[in-house]
Amino acid sequence: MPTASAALGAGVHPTVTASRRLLGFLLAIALFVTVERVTRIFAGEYAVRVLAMCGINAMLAVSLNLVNGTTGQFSIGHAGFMAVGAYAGAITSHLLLGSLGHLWPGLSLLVSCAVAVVCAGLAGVAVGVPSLRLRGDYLAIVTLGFGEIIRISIESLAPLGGSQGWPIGAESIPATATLPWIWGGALLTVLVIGNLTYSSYGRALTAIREDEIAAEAAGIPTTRYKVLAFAISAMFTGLAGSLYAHDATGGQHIDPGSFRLDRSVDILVMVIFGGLGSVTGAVLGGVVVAVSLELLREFQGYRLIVYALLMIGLMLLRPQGLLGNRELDLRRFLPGRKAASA
Amino acid sequence: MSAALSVSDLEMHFGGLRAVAGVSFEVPEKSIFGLIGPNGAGKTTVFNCVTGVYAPTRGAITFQGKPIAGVPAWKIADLGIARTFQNIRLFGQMSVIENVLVASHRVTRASLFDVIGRTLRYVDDDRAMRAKAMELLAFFGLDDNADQVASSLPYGDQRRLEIARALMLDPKVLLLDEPAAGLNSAEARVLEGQIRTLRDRFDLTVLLVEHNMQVVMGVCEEIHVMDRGETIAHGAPAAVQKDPKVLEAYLGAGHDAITAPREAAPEQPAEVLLEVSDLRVAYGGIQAVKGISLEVRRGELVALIGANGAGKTTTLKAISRMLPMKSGSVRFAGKDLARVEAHELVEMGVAMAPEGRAIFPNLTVRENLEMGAYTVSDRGAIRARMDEAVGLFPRLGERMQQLGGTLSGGEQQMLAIARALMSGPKLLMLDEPSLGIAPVLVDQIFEAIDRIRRKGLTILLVEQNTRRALAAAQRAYVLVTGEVVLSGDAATLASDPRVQGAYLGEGVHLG
Repeated sequence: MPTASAALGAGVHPTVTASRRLLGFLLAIALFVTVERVTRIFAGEYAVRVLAMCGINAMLAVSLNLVNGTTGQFSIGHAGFMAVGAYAGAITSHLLLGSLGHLWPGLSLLVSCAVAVVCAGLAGVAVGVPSLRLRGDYLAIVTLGFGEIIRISIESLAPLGGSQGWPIGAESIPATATLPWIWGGALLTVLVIGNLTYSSYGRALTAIREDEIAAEAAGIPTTRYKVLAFAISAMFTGLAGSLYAHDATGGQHIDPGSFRLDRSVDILVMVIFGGLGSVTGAVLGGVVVAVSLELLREFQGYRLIVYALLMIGLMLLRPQGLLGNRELDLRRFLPGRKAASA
Repeated sequence: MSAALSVSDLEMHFGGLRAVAGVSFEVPEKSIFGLIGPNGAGKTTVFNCVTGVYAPTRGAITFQGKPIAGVPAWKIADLGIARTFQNIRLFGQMSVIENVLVASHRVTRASLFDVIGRTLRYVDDDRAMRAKAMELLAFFGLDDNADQVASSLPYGDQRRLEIARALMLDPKVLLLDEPAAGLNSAEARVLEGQIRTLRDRFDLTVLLVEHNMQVVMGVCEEIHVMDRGETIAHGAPAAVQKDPKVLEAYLGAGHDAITAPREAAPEQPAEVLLEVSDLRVAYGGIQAVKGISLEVRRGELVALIGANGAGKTTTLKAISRMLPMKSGSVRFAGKDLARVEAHELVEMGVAMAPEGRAIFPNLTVRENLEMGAYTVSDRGAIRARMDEAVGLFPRLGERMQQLGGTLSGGEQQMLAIARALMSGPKLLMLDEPSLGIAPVLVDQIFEAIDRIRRKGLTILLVEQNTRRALAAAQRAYVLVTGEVVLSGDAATLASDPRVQGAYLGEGVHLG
């Protein structure tokens, strides 16, 4: 990815101070709040819901891209990490309901998300350590199995609602994750994974994708790095899961059926749509998938057939995905300023 | 003088095969040390044991007083042993400078937190690494190509980029695995100087595996010779050169320069089988072939020669429809090939043994040959051709059930040629059959090519070993930077001083 090294917004002004960065983040959140309000007034609640879905998809796609795109491994069980995050978040919120959740719902959501991230990350390490020593298809098979184990385990756990899912009885998940929360989570995901991708660490990961033996000869402990990428990917997938569970625009309903293999495949489709290896491409892929699935509702029963045809069409016309392995750089379109190059 | 690296009683077994059977040597500090031997001697296996790709079955390897046998490859790189690879292993999709920067990873001080938070420490570190990488690239004359994608570099530059990447590790010992493979003799001479400069400038000990004797004898201070996994000689170049055991192992008993009797061209020229006119091929914006015209008549052996990057392989790939041509035409047996696809060409009677051999590593020798006969349905013909292939290359007959990937480089080349013959072609195209192969096997391969031609097969040969190619061919075309600069009778060209000029002039890449 030669053209992309400094293309991400995050990597552009590396010297900005922490306080300015925090200010930027707060401004972004303020912008998201405005987007939410304006959308609600002019386009209604349904549009806000679609935007929230875009944010969750973006998080999922950017996370998976770190493993499947940048590092060149093949995971097809990310729905499992999403489930771990969703249930860990929901349980935490449930436990906090009487105390923190009552006093300060936002802080409760933060704690729930933190727990979700930790749990999903640990699950990532547990799956990654044994399987990432191996090359090629093994990871795909192990992650596939992992996803199914998680789903079936939850199904048979009555305290978690079994296959009926959550809410159990009258106990619903607090609807705390509004659009600014979800987009804030997506922004954080893009910043962290984007900065990681375009750094010495990301270079090491890309080197592993390009030639594992040469990467070892260049001093890179490949197994350790693959596990690192896999764990970070799982962490942010868990974050997406937790925000999905608390999604205030949706039904705050989670059940094991939401985390089947087809969810993993969906995430993979977003990454391939956007272009394997591109962070902004993954965001775009997530958005395109969410929006096109909604627009296709007109076709009713034929919706998924039309969707499949669209996918085939894109793969025939643009097999490298929308952005290939390049990054979208808005500054390229600004007059009088040359886009920074690596 | 103390030893920078020492190997004692090293053994490496693969299944029942003893690839290395008790080898010991010491590489003196700051020396240039050569590890040589014919193909299959076990040199690369020793290399792979030293660099941690393999954990040796037995024996010790000591680096700076520490045992390193069985230590993982990345850790060995970390300790200060850097290497290059026989078949260049760059990170193809990454830029030139990024390839070098990958190896800076071990010296960077920035933590994961610094990276994600883009702290000042990360920024400073990144700047310092880039500056160091640029310095190395400048040393190899690659600084202008820093942002180019590595896979788009010409061959010689790719070799040098690999060395630059290895040096980014700040190594104490540098292992070069056949750095002269694919270089012509002028380029090889430049390489000799560069290796010496590298040693002095970066304070290195250099361990070299190399087939090119000119380079080995010119640059090494001490040489260790292996054959079939065992040590057969050790000493200074002059002594090793005269050692009868070395001569026999390396050059084959009773070796002589190839003196195939050359026949005069037939009076009546045969019909034109392959006709290329004004062929142009471009990679992106770079014109690799700039209007080449040539013809091959039935029964002829025509050689396409020239320095690296002259466009020989590109021409061959365009003829075989593996690369799109920008303009021009290719006609085979009177038929325009513009709309013919690569696989259809095999049925039309064109077969190719590609550069780098491209045999199927996980199929047996027999299965590889059978794949070559994919378009043939007559079982009798397949059997007959298989017998013929074994007659041509007896070594393959001994290894019919062996996996292709376990063959040595020279044997793989034989397999590639035999496989191409299985389709019963009218025209055989050979791309660099001598690349990276020990002289004794190159002799065998060229003898086989001569026998194939005598049977009446038409051959188009791409070869950077000019002397060999001109000895084997009847006619030849000399390419310089994508154009034909000379052509004609091979015997005449062989004594034409302009041919050498074409190599030493603008066709030379190494500066």
